[in-house]
Parts: sequence; C-alpha cells; structure tokens
Amino acid sequence: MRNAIAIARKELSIYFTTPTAYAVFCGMTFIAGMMFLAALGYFQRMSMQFLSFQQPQLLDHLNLTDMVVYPLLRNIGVIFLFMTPFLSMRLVADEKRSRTFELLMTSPIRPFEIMLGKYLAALGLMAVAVGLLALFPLIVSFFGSAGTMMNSGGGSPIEWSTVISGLVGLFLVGAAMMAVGMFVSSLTESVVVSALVTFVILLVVWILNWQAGRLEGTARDVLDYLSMPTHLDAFAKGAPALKDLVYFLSFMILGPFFTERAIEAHRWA
Amino acid sequence: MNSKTFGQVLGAVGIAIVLSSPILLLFGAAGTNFVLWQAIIGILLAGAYVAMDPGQVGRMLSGKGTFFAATAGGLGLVLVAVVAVANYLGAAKFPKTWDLTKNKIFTLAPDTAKTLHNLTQEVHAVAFYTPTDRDYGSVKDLLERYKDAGGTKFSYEFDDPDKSPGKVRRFNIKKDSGPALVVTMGKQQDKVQSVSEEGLTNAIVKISHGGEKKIYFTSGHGEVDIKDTGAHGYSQVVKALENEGIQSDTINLLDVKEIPHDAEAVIVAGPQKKLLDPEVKMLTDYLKVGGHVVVELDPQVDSGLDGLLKDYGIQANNDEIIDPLSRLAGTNLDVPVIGQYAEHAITKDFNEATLFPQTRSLTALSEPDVSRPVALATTNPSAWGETDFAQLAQGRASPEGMVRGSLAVAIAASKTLPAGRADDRSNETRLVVFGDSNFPNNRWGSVGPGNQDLFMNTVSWMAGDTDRITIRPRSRDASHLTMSQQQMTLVQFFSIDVLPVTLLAVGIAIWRVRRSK
Repeated sequence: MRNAIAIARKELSIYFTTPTAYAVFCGMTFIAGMMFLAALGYFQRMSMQFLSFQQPQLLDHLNLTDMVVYPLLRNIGVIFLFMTPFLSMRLVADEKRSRTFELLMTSPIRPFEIMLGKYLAALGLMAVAVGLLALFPLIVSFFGSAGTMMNSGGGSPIEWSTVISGLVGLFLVGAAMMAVGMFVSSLTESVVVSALVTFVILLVVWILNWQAGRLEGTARDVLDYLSMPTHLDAFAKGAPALKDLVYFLSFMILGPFFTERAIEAHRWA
Repeated sequence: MNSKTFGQVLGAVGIAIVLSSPILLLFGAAGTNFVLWQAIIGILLAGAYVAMDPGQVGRMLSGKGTFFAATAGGLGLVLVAVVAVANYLGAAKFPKTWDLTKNKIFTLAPDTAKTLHNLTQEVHAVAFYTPTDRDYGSVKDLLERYKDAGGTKFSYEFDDPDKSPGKVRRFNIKKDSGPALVVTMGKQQDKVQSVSEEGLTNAIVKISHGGEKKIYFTSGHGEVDIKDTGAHGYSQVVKALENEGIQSDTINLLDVKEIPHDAEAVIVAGPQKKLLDPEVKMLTDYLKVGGHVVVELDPQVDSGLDGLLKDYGIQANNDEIIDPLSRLAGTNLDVPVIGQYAEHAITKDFNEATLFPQTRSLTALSEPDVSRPVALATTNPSAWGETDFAQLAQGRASPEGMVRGSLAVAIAASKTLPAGRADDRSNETRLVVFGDSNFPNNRWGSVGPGNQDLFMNTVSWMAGDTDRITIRPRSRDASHLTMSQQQMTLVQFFSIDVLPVTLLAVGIAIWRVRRSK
C-alpha cells in the first residue's frame, strides 16, 4: 500500500507540474462556465417572463436547483467525455514510451500496486475537477435566495443534498471513465492511440441510449441501463439508486483489474 | 503470396469480423440475421487460418504467455460475469433508491404505497409512449417507482401505438389524442386520466376495487339499442364499459316491481315516447333511496320525466342548440363542439372536445333544496337554443329572440342521504342528464375525441367509489435570483474569464519555470 501511495504522489506531482492537467481544467471550466451562464440567463428570462405575465403562481415553480444546477451537472458529463481521455492517456502508456516501464517492472513493486497508485492519482485528479466545478453551485447559492420574488422565504436557495449527490455522480462518472482510460493506456505505447481509443469507447458507452429509442421491451431497458447518462441523471436529480452505484463501481472494478493483468502480462510476454 | 501469409490475412479479417459483430448488432446498422451470418463467416475465416497453418497456432498455444493469457482471460470472464450479476441484482432484485431531495419529490406518497401493498392481484400498466414523447422520461420514472414499491404486484411495458395496433384496439386508445397510459388487472382495465401519481393510484384503486358491476338500460320507449352495432347503437361503448368491469343489460320497467338490487345505475337513453306514470314513479322512488340514474333526452321528444328532473333542479328546454362556431371545427351548425367542463368528479382533468349532435339545452335551476346541480359541459358563448323547429327543418336558423350564451348540455345533480337508513341503495342519490342521446353512440363516439370518455366517466361516477385519493404533486421549494446587471457581469467575468485563465496561467508558468531550470 505504501508503494501505491508513493506512486500516486509521483503521478499527481507529474500532473500538476506539467501543463496538461491545467490546460484540460482550463478548457473544462471555460465550457462549463458557458453552460452555467446559459442556464443562469434562461432562469432569469423565465423569472422576468412569469413576473410580467402577472402570474405569481408560476414563480412557485422556479427553482435554482432544478433549472440551473441540475442541467449544468448533466451537461458537464459530456465535458468529462472529452476531457478524461486526455488525462488518462499517459497513465501507463507514457511509462512505456519513456522506457521507465522496464525499470518499474524490475523493481520489487507489484503490478497491483502500480495499478492502484495510478488509479488513486486518477481519482485525485477527478476530485480536483469536481472541486473546481462545485464553484458554480456556490455562485448560485451566493446570489440566489429562497422563496419567490414576491415572497422571499428563509433557507438555502439551492438544495445542497441534491447538488452534492450530483457532484458525487460526476466524480463517479470521472472515476469510471478514468478506469476505462487507464486500461486502454496499459495496452499501448502511444498516448495518442490511448486517448483516441478511450474516447471512442466512452463515446459508445455515452450514446448507447440514443439507439434505445428504436428498440422496445427488454432490449431498450438494457441499452438504457448500459448507457452512462442514465446513471449520472439519477445522481444529478438527487435520487441515486443502488443500481446506479453498482453500475459505476463495475467500471471501477473491471478497469483496474484488467489494467493490472495487462501490466502483469509484460512479465510473460 | 504464400499460403502462410494468406492464412494470416484470412485470420485477421475473420477476427475483425467476429469482434465487430456485437457492435453492429448493438447499433442496429444491420439486421440480426445479417450480423449472425457475418459472425459465422468470421469464425470460418479464423478456422481457415488455423487449418492452413496448424504449426503456428500450436506454437502460439504452447508459448509461455499462453498460460498467463488463459488464466487472466478466464479470471476476467468470471469477474465480468460477477459484475454482470451484481448489476442485474441491483437493477432488478434490490430496487433501493435514496431520495436525497428535501421534499422527497421522488418518493411515492403513503397512500400509493398502501394501495400497492394491498393489491391482491398483479396490476400491469401499458404505456403508449415513445421515447420521442415529451413526458416519456417522467412517465418511465413514475412507473419505475411503482414497480420498485409494488414488487411482483406491479409491472409495466411501453408500447409504440404505431407498432401495436392490436393493443391500441384492445385498450380502446385513440391515436390522435396523444400518449395514453392504461392499467389492467385480470380482465379489468382503466385508462389513466391524468398521468401523475394521483391519476395512476386512483386508476389502480378503481380497478382493484372493481369486481363485476351492473348497469341497466331501460327499454320499451324506442331507446337506443345497446346491442346494435350500427351507427345509432351503443355496442362500442358497452364493450368499453365491459372492459372496465361494468356489465350492461336492458330492463323494461313495466315488467319488474322495482329496480333490481344489483343495479349500480339505470340509464334512460333517448326515449322516443313518453314514459308511463308507474315507470316514472319507479325511477323517482329509486332515486329517493340513493339510486343512480342517467337520462339522455333528445330534442322535440316529451319523455315524461320533466317533473322528476325538476325535483333535482334540472330543466330540459324545448329547443335545439345551434352554434355557428361549429363550422370552424368542421361539423354542422347543429353539432356544437363542447370544450368547457366543470370541476366535478366526472369532468375532473377532462380536456378533450366532445361533439353533441342535435342536442337540447339544459338549465340548472337556482334553488333546488340540496341537490347541487352542476352544469358539467357547456357550449361556446356563440351558441343559442333554437326553438323555431319549422324553420330549422328547412335548414334555417337565426339567433334573434333566442336564448344565447354558454348553454349546458349535461348537468349532474347529487344529494347526500342521511346515514343509517336500511333500505338505501347507496349514501348518495346521483342524477346526470344529457340533452342528447347520440353523443356516445357508435358513430359519434368515434368522431368526437372525448365523447366516449365523457359517457364512460359518467357511468364510472355512477358505479364507482366516491373516494378519490388526493395526492399533491411534490416539488422543490421555490427559489429565485435577483442580480443587478453589475453582479451578472461579475459572475460572467469570473465564470468564463478569471477561473479558466487562472488555471491556464498557472499551467504556463509551471511549464516555463521548469523548462528554464
């Protein structure tokens, strides 16, 4: 375990002393910021419209969690889809390219520890990403207020329990994507191939439910289930189910397992 | 090319084909048969490779990596299987959801949970929704919650109305009136009026409390024939009632001493002759002990029931409704299109248009003791009650001197009876009067979008349990945003400028610093 933590620290220090992670996070926050402003603008337009219609009962239905934070968190899933391949691509492939892999393999560190260290670093990276994104709900809670415009109430302007559930969901999406990316990265020496293949796999998993509409019955349910947005949605709206957790954990078990096998395979090749 | 190279190419093509098959199948680029054949060809090609160069394959299998690959692959397969089973169990067997919202908006109300818990038979819901329908997601979520709470007692399916015409017919769904949700239990079924937790739970209550119920149509005065399958018959609506667990029969009031005790309601559907005094008295007595009666009148016919109706605050006017706006809806002047309904158990959440061909108008009298007459359905304000039948017969009508405005075509009256009287049929007398007997018949019942439903709702109210469960839809507490232009600019500046640019600056700085070292 100590070895794994040492590797994780090394990996994280590489991420944060090279520009890659910063560039990716910069892109992520910029696009998320655009989405955030769009959602905020939409909310304000709706408020103004309801107010000018003189229909105060409609104002009761306006809610910052539902109309700003929930769509934002769901959409950020798509940013993750584009972002994680760039973060995961170098995890193992880079070691091979820079010929440090042989060094690692001849050290007394077990492949399991190598894998664990790298995955922990990946999880740390996703935690930072989610932490950055949590700034947007914070902004909402800073400027928003509870109750309607006509009738301000007490309490928090956004439902933190739902928002935290959504952020946890985003973290799990990132963790699942990183698990796929790490495995792909362990199969190749080229970071470009690693990123590209990871992206294609994640894209397929992401859009599986687009196909679900054409099907009926069990086939549609299965495709819906296999698709990642279905499960992110459950977390984002604040009602995650056991199955959603099991779904993400499946990636987080299978990805590292196959990565470990792939690293181990080098001893035998 | 020697045979060895050729074999390797074949093998590569074969493996590529086999591996791509499941993806093709998943994305539906080709039919199942096509993909199956493709996979078979792939396996054959791979087999050909093995056959052409058995030595190479043998060397591969005996290599030191093979043992590792086999154990890793085997272990991997086992793990994949375990994970698949865990997912299946999580999805199908252990439906646990944590509702983290403050107002528990994703949790079913206690009444719903109780209803599902008390079910004795399986309820199956059929949703005629396609994924392109706006509410598909929320309806699926709702049904999923019922399934999780109901366990083996509740199941559902989604059907595309275009792909399952048989089901559309069986459940009597109108394609044009949009998506529909039907609940079934054994032979009984009911269409959910408003698709919400309240609507669905009440539909389940209705069919599970059902049992066979019976209504009687009077005969002997030229009333509508319930078995007639022609344009003027009621065969279709009677069939639809049967699907909801309500049997229909005819009764000649002169042949019986009193209304049968199994009658949930008596329907007088368009008598063309006057009812005789003993018949009227029988209906009057029946109503007094909590009977339920539906009367459908037609213009220019004296049914002999005017006195009875007046006792319950309902007056049938001797006229025929003409509405010039009907032309816009594509029907004749004497077929008013009805779109306004009262807040009443029969017309709650009812929003389909109904057509009333040749109907007379009804008036709710102002002070009937306690019978609360409610005008269920009213015409457009542009309509009038034409009383000059001679002119009308020549195809002419004018509103001059006629009663003009929103005229009632259906009125419901009810009267709660004192508790504890042994002879009472129910605890509430109910009377619904329509100014027309054609609206639910085989012809108009299929032309008017809501015609059949209005009749069915009326009979349901007559036969049904009065207690509707009320479930208030839950939502998150309201919140709002009041930002000045300045604050908005600040947020804008932070979101798409300060935050990303800071990250970028740090990245570049680190990169430059490290390079210069």
